Amino acid sequence: MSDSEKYSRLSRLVGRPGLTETVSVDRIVSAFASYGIWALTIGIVVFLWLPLSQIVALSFTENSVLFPLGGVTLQNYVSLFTNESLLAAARQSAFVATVSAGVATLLGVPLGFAIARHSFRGKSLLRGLVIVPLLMPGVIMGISLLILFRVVGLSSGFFTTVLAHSVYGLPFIVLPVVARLAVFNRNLEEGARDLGADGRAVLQDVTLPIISPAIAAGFVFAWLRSFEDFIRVFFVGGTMDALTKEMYGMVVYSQGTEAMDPMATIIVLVISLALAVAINFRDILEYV
Amino acid sequence: MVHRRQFIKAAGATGVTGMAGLSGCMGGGGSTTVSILTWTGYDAVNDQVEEALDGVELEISIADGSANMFSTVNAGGGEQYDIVIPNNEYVPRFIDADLAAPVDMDIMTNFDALYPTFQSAAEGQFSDGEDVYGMPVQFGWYAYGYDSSKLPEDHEHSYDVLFSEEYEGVDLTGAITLYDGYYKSIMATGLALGYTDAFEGDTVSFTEEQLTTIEETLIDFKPNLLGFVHDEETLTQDYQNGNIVASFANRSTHVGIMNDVDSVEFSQPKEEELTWFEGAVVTAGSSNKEAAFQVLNEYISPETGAALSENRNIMNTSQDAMDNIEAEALQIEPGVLDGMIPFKPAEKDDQWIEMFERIKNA
Amino acid sequence: MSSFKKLDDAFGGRSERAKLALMAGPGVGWLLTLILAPAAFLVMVSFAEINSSYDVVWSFSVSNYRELFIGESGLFQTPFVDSFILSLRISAVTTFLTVVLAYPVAYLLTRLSGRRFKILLFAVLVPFFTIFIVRIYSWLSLFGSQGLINNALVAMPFISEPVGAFEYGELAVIISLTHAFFPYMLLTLYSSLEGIDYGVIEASRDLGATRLEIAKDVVVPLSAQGLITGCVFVFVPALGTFITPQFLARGKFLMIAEVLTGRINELYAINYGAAGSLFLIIPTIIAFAIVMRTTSLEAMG
Repeated sequence: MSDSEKYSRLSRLVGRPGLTETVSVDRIVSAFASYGIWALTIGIVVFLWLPLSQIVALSFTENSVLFPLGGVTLQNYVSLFTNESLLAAARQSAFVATVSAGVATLLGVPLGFAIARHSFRGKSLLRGLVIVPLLMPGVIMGISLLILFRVVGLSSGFFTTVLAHSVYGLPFIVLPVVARLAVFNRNLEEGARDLGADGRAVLQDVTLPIISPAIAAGFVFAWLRSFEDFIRVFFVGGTMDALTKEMYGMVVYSQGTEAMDPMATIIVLVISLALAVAINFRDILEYV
Repeated sequence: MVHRRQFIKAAGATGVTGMAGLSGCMGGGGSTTVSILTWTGYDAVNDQVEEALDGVELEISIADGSANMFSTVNAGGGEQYDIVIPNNEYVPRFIDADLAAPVDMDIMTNFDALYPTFQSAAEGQFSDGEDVYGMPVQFGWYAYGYDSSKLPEDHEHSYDVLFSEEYEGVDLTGAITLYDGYYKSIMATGLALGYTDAFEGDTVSFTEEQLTTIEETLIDFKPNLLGFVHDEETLTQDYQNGNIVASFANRSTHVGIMNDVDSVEFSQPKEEELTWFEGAVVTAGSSNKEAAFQVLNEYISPETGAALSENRNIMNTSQDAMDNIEAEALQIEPGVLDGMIPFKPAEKDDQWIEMFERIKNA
Repeated sequence: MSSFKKLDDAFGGRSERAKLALMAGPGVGWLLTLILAPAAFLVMVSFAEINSSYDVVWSFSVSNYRELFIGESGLFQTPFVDSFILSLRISAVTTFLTVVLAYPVAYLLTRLSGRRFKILLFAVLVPFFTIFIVRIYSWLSLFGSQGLINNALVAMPFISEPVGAFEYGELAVIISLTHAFFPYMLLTLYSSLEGIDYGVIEASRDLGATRLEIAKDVVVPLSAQGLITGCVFVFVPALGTFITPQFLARGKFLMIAEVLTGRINELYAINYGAAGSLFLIIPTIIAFAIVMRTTSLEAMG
């Protein structure tokens, strides 16, 4: 293939039809950039998926390593579903996450309204304070809450974990609510009022339906953050079971990891399904 | 009632302040719930204990180590937990802080069957001179495991093996692992260097000079290590792949490895084994002391004790219980306990820990 | 005057304030008790001591700070300092890698629509939602002297021994952190790139700017805000990471969170932990200032 043929092929990809005889350097760079971006993106997707897919594969094999390939088995899943303490820990973590995200929602939605709709002294300070739980490294939050609970004499466990996780989850509720209310058309509310709706009816029939997707998305995030947290629960959870603590123990103290791979696989599977549904129904990026 | 109980358990009742009082009277029909803060594996004999002791129900919580157990109980968990089972070197700390209740020796009918070593340990380390405050339940020791297909069984057993590039003609470069913890690794190094004097008395007390030498030894030797590793799975894999010749870790870890890798044996070093035992303490704040002592007595009974050992790969302090055990890897040679060095608190543990951090970052 | 304003007026100033207190009060109380108060205690305990039965002995001594920076090892020779520097380095490299990797993907996402957009979004978001500990764990069997990478390398004709770089250690930690935090960077970059008016790009192209020039002079400056936010959200959590080095450094070195956790877990040295934490808070405060300067809350949703 001659050079000119190469150029014309590239130019066909990037140039306007009919303009094939002169090819600017920029066009070639463009073409390479397009190819490059695709190649890089595919490479990155592979990078993101490689370890996870390897775990999925491992969950069905007899060996704990991929090579040499062992036989296919469901034994790992049997050991997962007979591992009572791991399952109990998973249930416990889900329970903690639900309560914590619930508390965060109850506190966060009105707080979001206050920030978005009212002006008051110290508002900018409050806006800053709201994102602190998001930025504060988990190990600091854990240590500082451990000290607080120790000083006030609250013994570690479920209650303290819910306190920690509910404040950790607060920004995930407040931020989307504030963002949603900021772009929300106030005329809708006023229109409803002009049509005779009272404050409660406006809130119920106009405002809440519009911001509820934001609240729902925030709840899911707060829930996930609580569910996946290790370091905070490590410091303030006391002897309470938690899935992450159980998984950490399995790896670091080696209490047998054969249940790890199927557990991880199930998590990936559930997430994939939920996400596929969400992406098809809504523009979920609005809430990320 | 049953549903309520299950719900509370699922809700993590062990941690909820204010619910602590409930656990004692839950269950109805005169049954008592004994709440235990301990290591993994104890729950395997719950049914057996509950069957043996009429009207007692067990509730097991797992803590991350002895320091954690102490801080939990000290922070007000003493009413929440009836029994705490830390490592022996922590029991004096419980006694000093008035967190332990004196043992009712009349209930401890199995005490006389304990190995004499542990009877005297209870009366020594676990006593304030009058009363005994703790019960040795399970024990094990730290020494090194080795691949007998490379390092013959009849080599001179010594902690020196861990700090040699070559031992009796066997190449050990890069084939050694040490325990990933400051306390155990520093003690092993001290023993290898012959600092046995430091182990006399109530604490392990190396001199400054000795500590410096220990640190230098560990840093110099670090390149020769495969790593600071003590988890069973990694060690098993590395033994299987022939990467390790000797590994310093708990005996129970090695029992697990031996089940998978035939050629692995456990040493009996001439400097003696570093022995730990779990010292069960009934908390001073417990409102079920009598039931709690009955449970302790059950943990060292010939049947339950043996079952506990087989489930945890850890030996029981009761000779009668050990006689009931068939698993070969759990058999111990008579006399192994004679010269044992029991775990004692480190005299300057913040200095030790900083030293180990330095070694790791070196 | 709108009817809404009328309604507000009808309620009057006082009850307006009561309403506000009712709405914001509980949330603010939560933040004060569980974020600010603990932070204050952290400072206080960093000057206190702990006795042998693990009780806090209130005092004003700098011994914890002495322990952090001098200890037994000599000024700035302590493991704490070493680990702090190491953690800063690991976080910086991780942040850099996520930027380099996320930019093109974020850009591509803005140029796609419909089915292709959804598929790519799905592909990058599933690992994001997979819980953190699983993401880190998933690298465990790839690294190590017997890991998948080394086994594959050894199986090749001219490599006979496992390659040190692919054993557990710094590289493993950096790669897994990059993997774990990549989506944070991607999403913040995407949302700022998305806001760029492509008319500007078209215009610069019409004015003869090359693609490289457009990237350098138009796209990067316009997405700077997202870039900074993204960097903060990668750098800060990476700095405080505990599980990652626990799983993938396997005792080869200690990151800062491991040092603090170790002291607290083994010695219950919450005073040392508190003092050490304050030095982790400094980067957090800087990050916070940056975010507050560059981003509005409305944009962070």
